[in-house]
Amino acid sequence: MPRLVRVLAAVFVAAISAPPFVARAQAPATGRITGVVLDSASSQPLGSVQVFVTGTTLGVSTAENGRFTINNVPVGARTLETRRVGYRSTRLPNVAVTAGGTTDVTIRTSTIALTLEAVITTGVVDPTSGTRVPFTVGRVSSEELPVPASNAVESIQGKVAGVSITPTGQPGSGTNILLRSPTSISKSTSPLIVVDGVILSQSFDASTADLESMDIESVEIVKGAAAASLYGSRASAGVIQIRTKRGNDLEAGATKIVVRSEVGDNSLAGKIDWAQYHYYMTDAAGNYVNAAGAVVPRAQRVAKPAYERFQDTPYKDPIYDQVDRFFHPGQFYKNSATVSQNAGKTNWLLSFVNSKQGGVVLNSGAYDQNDVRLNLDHQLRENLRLSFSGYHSRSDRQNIYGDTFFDLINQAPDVNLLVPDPDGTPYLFQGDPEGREENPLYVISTEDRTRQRTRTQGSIESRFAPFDWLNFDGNVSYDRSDRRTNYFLDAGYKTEGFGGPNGGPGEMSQSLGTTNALNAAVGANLIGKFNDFTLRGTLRGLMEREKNEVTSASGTGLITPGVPSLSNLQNRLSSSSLEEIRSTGTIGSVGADYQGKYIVDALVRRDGSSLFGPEERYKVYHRFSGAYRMSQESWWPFAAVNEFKLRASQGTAGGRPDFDDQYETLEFLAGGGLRKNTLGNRFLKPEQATETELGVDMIVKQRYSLQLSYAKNRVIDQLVLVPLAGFYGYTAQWQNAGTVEGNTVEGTFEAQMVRNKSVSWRMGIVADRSRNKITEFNRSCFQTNEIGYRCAGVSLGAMYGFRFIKDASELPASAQASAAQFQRNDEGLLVWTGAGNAYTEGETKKLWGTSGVVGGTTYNWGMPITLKDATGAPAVVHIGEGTPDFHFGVSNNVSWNNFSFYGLVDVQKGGQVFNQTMQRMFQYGRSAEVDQAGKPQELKKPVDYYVALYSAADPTDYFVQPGGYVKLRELSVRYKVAPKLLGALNRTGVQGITLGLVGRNLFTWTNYKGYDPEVSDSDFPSTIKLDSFGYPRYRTITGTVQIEF
Amino acid sequence: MTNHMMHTVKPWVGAGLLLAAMACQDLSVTNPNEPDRDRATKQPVSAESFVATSFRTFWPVAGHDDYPSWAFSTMAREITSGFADFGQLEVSAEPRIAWNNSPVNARANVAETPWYGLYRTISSVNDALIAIDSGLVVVDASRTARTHAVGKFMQGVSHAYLAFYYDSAVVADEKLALDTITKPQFKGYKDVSAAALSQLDAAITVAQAGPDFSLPGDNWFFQAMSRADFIKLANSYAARVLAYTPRTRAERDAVDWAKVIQRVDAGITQDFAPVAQPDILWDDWKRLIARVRTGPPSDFGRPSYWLLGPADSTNGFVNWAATPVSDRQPFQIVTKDRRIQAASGPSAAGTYVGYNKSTIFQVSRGTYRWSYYYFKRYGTGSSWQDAPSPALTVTEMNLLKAEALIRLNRASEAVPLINLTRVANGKLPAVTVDGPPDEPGCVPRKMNGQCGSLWDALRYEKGIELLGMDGVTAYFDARGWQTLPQDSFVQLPIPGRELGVLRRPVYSYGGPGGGSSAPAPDPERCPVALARCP
Repeated sequence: MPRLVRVLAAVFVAAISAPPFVARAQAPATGRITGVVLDSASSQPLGSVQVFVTGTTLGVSTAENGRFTINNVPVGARTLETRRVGYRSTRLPNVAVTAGGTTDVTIRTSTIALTLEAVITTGVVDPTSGTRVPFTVGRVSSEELPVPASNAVESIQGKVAGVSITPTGQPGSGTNILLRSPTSISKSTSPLIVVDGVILSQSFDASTADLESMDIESVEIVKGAAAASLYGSRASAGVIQIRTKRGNDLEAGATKIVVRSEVGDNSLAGKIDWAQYHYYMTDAAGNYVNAAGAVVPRAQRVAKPAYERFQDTPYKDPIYDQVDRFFHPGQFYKNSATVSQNAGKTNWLLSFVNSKQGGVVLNSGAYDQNDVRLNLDHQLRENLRLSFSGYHSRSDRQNIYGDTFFDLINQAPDVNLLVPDPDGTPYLFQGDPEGREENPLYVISTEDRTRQRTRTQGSIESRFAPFDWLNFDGNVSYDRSDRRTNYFLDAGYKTEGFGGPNGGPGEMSQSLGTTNALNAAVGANLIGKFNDFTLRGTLRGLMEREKNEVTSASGTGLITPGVPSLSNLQNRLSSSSLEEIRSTGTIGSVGADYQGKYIVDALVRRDGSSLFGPEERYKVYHRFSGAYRMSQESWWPFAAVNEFKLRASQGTAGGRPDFDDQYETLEFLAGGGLRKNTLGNRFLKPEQATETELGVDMIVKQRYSLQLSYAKNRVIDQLVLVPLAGFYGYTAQWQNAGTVEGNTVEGTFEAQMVRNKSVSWRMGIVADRSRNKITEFNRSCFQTNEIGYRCAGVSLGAMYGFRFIKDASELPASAQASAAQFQRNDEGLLVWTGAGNAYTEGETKKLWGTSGVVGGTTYNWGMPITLKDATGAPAVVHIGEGTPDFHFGVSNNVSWNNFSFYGLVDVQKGGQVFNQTMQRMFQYGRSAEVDQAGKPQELKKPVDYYVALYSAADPTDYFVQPGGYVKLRELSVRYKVAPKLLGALNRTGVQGITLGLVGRNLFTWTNYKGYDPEVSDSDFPSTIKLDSFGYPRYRTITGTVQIEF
Repeated sequence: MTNHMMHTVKPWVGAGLLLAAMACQDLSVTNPNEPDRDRATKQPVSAESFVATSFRTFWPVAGHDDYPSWAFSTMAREITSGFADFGQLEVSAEPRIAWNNSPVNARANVAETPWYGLYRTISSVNDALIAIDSGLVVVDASRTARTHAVGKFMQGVSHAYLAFYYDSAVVADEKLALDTITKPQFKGYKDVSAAALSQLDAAITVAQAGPDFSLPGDNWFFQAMSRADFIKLANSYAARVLAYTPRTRAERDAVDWAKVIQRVDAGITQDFAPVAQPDILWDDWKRLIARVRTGPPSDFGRPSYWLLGPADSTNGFVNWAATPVSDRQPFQIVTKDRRIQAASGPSAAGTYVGYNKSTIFQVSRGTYRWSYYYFKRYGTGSSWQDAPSPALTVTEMNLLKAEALIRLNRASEAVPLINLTRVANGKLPAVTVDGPPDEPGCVPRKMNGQCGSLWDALRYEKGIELLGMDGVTAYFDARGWQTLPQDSFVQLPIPGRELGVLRRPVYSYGGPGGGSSAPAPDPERCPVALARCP
């Protein structure tokens, strides 16, 4: 461990070890508070309520009978505060504590229908009720998570306004998150994620995949710089803070064991349809024949003449549904056991989760994950509290090789994928003699691709409150990731280039990656009350150290087949990389609150980072925010409106460069040698976001809440890789060379529709609409990720490519005079027909396959025509937009006696997807859309027409498809077995059993023609919507049993 | 200080110390993964490695990888392909269209990859040459001279290929002060070619002037060489510079062919065939044109009928060429050339190509792209990554000299040079100054079916012997021999991306009415009076 870290640790210990000196000093006079907490509606006692003495670290949980006792409370007028999941935080002020005396109190608290009232901890320096926060903090609590997601981050999908989640296909691949509008052209638009005080490293793939969702207590989401300035140069895209469950939810002395098991299936949720016909010449018996009518083998079959090359001839040979044969439901299970105990001064929670997802591809293995979590809190002294959070996760999976789904779409319908190969593999390597792509099932069977991950996280948080007006907090967190990928293909198996009976020479690779991240922070918080004023001040320092190490080796040519050792390779290559990040931060903030009506807040943070260029080593961020709770005014005329708050906030936050960006680099060549790569930039700065957020929050009749926000974001100093002129030798340089602007309108509505002794119905609606645009771009425009286009005035979700013309006005000037020779066909595309012909006469007049020259340009009869620019080259134009018009989610949580139902419907209106998967299926006539059987004869089009639409894989508007959807994303039905039915089980200690059915991604209603409109095949899946042979989203249906002891 | 105050202050002191410790953290991190130029060039051996490995940056863009080989070879009708991957579909479509020089063209790499690859090569050797000019000694005088000479050589061949490919380029040698450039000076291809020749001559001069050196076989050029071999190689590349720079028949006519002969005579006496090494130097051109991926051989590109067809003794090729483009169907060749067909019959594979009827390209891409012949001379198995990969052969030099001799009215001296491979490899009857023997099955035949001339025999011989060597030389010959299909571009513009970086307007070439578009082909017209020439 570096010396600096040891110093920090020593100082940290010194800071928290100060109390013994305090203890040896004169002991302050104390008293005792006892009491009971009751549900305000039913007057029933409430267990598991945390009761705190504000301004101290004193706190206990109530017993099942609602009672509590807090000892050693400093004398004076104290304020008690309660917290319980699902209940409002209630304050009881002016509790008089006398030296040696006991004060008994009764606290009534009511259920929270409304997230708005919940206490939040993200973006603020100390926990604050949502009604008093001058900016938006989204929150999802465990009650809203009856359907455990694949990982913790996915839990918030559809439940928080302004959040877009794009899961990545294969189980265990992680999640892409976008909060409000995208903030970066080239860098990640994912927010910073903090779990129990551990700041997650984002330096490696699928960082979120390791985060188990079972133990979540709450997730808080700060969506932009207006609220995220506290997190400085890592937070321009927002912050997600996840808190997991702890033992402090239990009453003092209680122990609880919860065992849960969930079993079911993953299955393909949507299909793509394969072509069922061909376009080759056949005789009356369906045999392939040549032009002379002689029967020929399939490999020498001859296409019909161009004018009748319609894909409408049924196969004589059996044909197969390749989707059904390739995809196969995989088993899903998730088992967990949680033990928690509250022993008064110490509480802890230990949980174990074992999950398995089989995915949906036949024989592709399963994703296995095992997690252990230990959370422990200890009240070391009356004014000193320590919390430890630890998490360890291990996972294994068989990686699907990159071309799996591309290979699949290349399989002809008459190829039987399930025939054994002569080499003994249960699947034939190449079933189609004309095919160029291997049977993906053969590859999956022969390639051994595995991935193992281990994640270890730990944090220690402490809070020391020597005085009512002063407390200190400290935090040290550690995040370690170990990743290993192995690939082994034994000699003798067939592979690309080695399709013969002897197979290939074999190959293998291994990669080991390790990330160690250490973050530490220490702060002092001042709270002063002066009559109606409450003032808060904070000073905090932070440091970050992170190291990423990757070592890889690969090679070909196994000396001894069957031995998966790197030493067994004839040709070997190795590489390594090491990245180190060092950062510091200093935060100062002040906040004031007058009578709880006028709330202002200011914050300054100065960050330094090794990721910034040496001439720009430090950067300052700030936030100013204020709120006016009009409903607290004596003159407030609307009694039914319990809360009405206007708020405004403006803040800045940053987006950091990656490790390499500032450096001049020369790349090593395999086998030795150097070559120039990127030119360094000593002046490289982080991207800087400035967000202004305006909003109104209101609560009506304590049953309905509404939050409306408008946020405008401007991110300058965009990190852009700017190409350099060739003669410099360096290919490019990272520069701060652009600006992105965005805005979001979002709303959250919550309603406690019904609440009585037997029925509870809670509904939530979230909706948002975001727009973004590059407003400044100091380099030449360029295309990226097939359809993305980076240029001033263009949105980050815009699709650019070629466009087939629809109207004669789009013809080149040279053809305008002959516009009568063109007609719009039944697909709406303008095609050349020649004078006197109709587009329906291609077969009858034998016009398909002919061509003509109009205005110096050759046009093929009946074929789509690409729009040209002024130079005569195909014009690159706007062809689609991935950004949706708007998005909303509706969740309903209904309890009726022992039954509870939860449903989440997620809706995206607008937004398009580029369906490259279908485009490629047009190349070889694999898509059912190319089939002409059943069409009126005059409307049939030859396969050449569809290949022209395929357009040699260039992006075209033809494959831009509607990406909107209505999804029944989550559904849960649970039944809590009535205590009287538990019978003898009660004697075994069973407190309750809950049975349930769970569905994830159950149904999708969409006009999209791929497997699922939620696609993630680009490098920027949150903005560039590309469907490119990716692992499809799938459905999961399970049954659950939960037993509590 | 009272106890109470101490209690208050101690935590603050602790926190303050922690803050101070954080503030003192050194934020300077050296990149441990890749060196910068200073770190690299300060070390003599590193500086040497800039030059020693520069050939590996040059190699792919000199016709041994995907760009621009697939575009140029298919445009020259050497290899035919029905795929679009490396820009070949666009540029080989008939009728020809203009090159789309937009930086957002999905095939922009046809122009960009060689441009940036060649300049990266030049830039690497320039840094080493600057260091040597500043007095850097690479271990000893011999290694310094070697680094210097090879540096100038790489500078020369890189500028040569810039001249071959592009209408203009910046001549960037070690004297060019990059940090003072405000407006780069682009020079026309003839000037760039002249600069290349001068740099190759400088390489020869440096090599001759300094102490003796040799080049190892496992690096540098991946073929062991003495200093004398190196000088010969430089002369052979100089011959290429002279012969392949022209864009038109007239420019090729105007080449100083006597100088070509001088260079060829001073050039290589054995093939320059770097030995490929897995992942270090491989010949992807040879791999792809011979690839047998899963089923039919040569499943990515196949030898074109335009190349093989003149050997056909039936009227298959004559009829095929006379058929409208959209109606052309592949056919079987019957020939005496044993490079195409074995003696046992037309279906039996020759030594360079074989016959396979499996259709590998889509009908919709045009059956005029189809060929029943697959390539087998180089690149089969794993030879493309572990075997000698001919890059500049004695045969090429002999045939260049033969062309020079014909053009200099010394056709009789050209005859034995043409017959060397024609007889030994093709097992064909020798040609005379009148061409191949006028007999049935003569090779090659003209488009009208009659036996070809000596000029035709030279073109055929060079085409079939250089087939598979690289993906660009056939294009250089085709534009000078006027065999490119009409409206093919005869040179590339400066890449659109580079024009964008320099804030210059994008322009392009080729297509009907476009600049630098090839005229209608006229391949059989001889440069001098010969029998059977039109």
